Amino acid sequence: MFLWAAETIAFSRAQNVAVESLYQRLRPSLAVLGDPRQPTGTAALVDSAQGLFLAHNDAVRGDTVQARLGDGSVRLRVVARDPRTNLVLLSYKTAGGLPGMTPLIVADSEPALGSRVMVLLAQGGLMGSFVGGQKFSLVGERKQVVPVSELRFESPPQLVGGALLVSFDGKILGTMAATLARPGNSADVSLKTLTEVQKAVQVEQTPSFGAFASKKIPYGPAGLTVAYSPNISLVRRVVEGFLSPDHRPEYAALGIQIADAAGGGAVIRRIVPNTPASRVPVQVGDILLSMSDRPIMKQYDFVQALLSFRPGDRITLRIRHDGVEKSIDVTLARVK
Amino acid sequence: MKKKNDDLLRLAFGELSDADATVVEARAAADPSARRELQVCRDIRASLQHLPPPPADGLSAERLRAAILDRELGARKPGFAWGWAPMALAALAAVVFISRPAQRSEPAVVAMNNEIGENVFKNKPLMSDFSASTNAAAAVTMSVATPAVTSAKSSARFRSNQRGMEGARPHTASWAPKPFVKAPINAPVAMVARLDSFETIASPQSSVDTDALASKAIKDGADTVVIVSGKRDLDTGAAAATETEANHVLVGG
Repeated sequence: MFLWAAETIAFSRAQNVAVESLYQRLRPSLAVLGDPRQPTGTAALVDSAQGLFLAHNDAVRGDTVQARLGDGSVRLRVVARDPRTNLVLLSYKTAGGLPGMTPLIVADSEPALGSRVMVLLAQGGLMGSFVGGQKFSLVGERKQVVPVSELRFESPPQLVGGALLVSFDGKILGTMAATLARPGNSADVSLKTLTEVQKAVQVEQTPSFGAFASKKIPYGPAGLTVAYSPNISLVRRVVEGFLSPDHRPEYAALGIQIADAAGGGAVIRRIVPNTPASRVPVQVGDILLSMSDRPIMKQYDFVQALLSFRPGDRITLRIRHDGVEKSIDVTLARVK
Repeated sequence: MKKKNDDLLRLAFGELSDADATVVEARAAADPSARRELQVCRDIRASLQHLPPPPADGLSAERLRAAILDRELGARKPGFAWGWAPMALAALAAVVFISRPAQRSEPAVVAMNNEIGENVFKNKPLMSDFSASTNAAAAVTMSVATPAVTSAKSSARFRSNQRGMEGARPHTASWAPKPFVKAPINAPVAMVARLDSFETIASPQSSVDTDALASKAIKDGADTVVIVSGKRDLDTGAAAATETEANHVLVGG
């Protein structure tokens, strides 16, 4: 029992050391955004020659944002925003770029199931676990499809929305784009207002246990939080687009709505007029079996397959129509 | 004691300088308890880097969801119960379309504003790739048959075309079209684009069966979809998400 307790404590301390160690290693590549007394988040350098940083929109309020870079205070300008992921590209214009800073790179692939990840907060790092991918989210009024990975972490006392995620080898994985909300625990409120309220709540607290307990700010195992990040394929696509000459990520579209089909594949439920799908011989009720060499077993496969293609790609759809399979070539469109 | 343990942790995690590491290693070699603790720390570091897959019932989405939803994790925080130009351009596009050559080796392509295109040329082959144009104008192009090119080249050229009239560059030396309309700045612009470029469409909208959502029951083992709302989670400040079964959703793409 004593050994178990000792090892648990040692493990916890080791985690803290690991998080602190990683954060300090990454710190020279980060800009802390917002008022230094109340930072809104962090941005990671992704191109030192051009002085380009990656952040989440929640940490950037307006077209420019104050940032702490090394020992100095600078202003970063918004260059591009990606509405699907809410990722933002920020620029610090300086002659010769930022040669003294090492840019972070985006991970090549998803971490293994159960891998530790770190949430980059302005105050330091927070450890979480990668639970898995193979899921997608619907985002915004148009309910755009965004493949996501799922994470869990112990709820910290500070707000974490929009924080960047990194692997334990220091590569960018995504952002804390959304968290699974408890019923009745969400509201149509700006993050700025929420920050102000949270600050007020913290000021109200006293060190006494009773006061802390009365606020019931969840922390520790009872405060388990499930979070979602755009998956690594999408993050790579966005950053690649951000770093292109026009700083714009590109997405391909076919122009259909699909649902999972019984027995595998995806059944086409709607064909959107004036899209590539509307100009080829596919019909509502057809089963989509594959897109070029990518098999489609369910909706998620369709989402991932689309993400693997680019606008203008000529692909081959494998369709089952009235029990007969056929191949159809189509050129993918670009989504606005 | 705390300093000693910290040194062992930092040694295990490679945080000590070479000189300090040598001192701590020597001390650990002479002290069995320190040696054991150092080994524990090294094992922990190794486990952090090579964590085995968690048990199926330990990190399943269902279990996590239950952990979040079934527990009352504290009280709610108080206070939060809470023209003409497009028509003219369409006509111009129509003239170009109607006067196009009858024989083509590639599908007929006319670049235009997507909304205009939908009204005027419904069910006709369209090419519109000027959504980023700062001019509220349709972009119209002459039709020219061109050989197929790779998507990468097409993409690069597309980006070049998007920069505007001056940014449009031919893909090959033999291709040298000239703008057939010269427009003043801030006026509707007609521009020449590559005809083997691809079209731009509005994002195909997904839809959610809200009636099915009302029950909120998620069957065991069912695939789930995350619905991200415009609201914020009051605990985390992130966008508030709910999950529903995938078969309640039509995915657009």
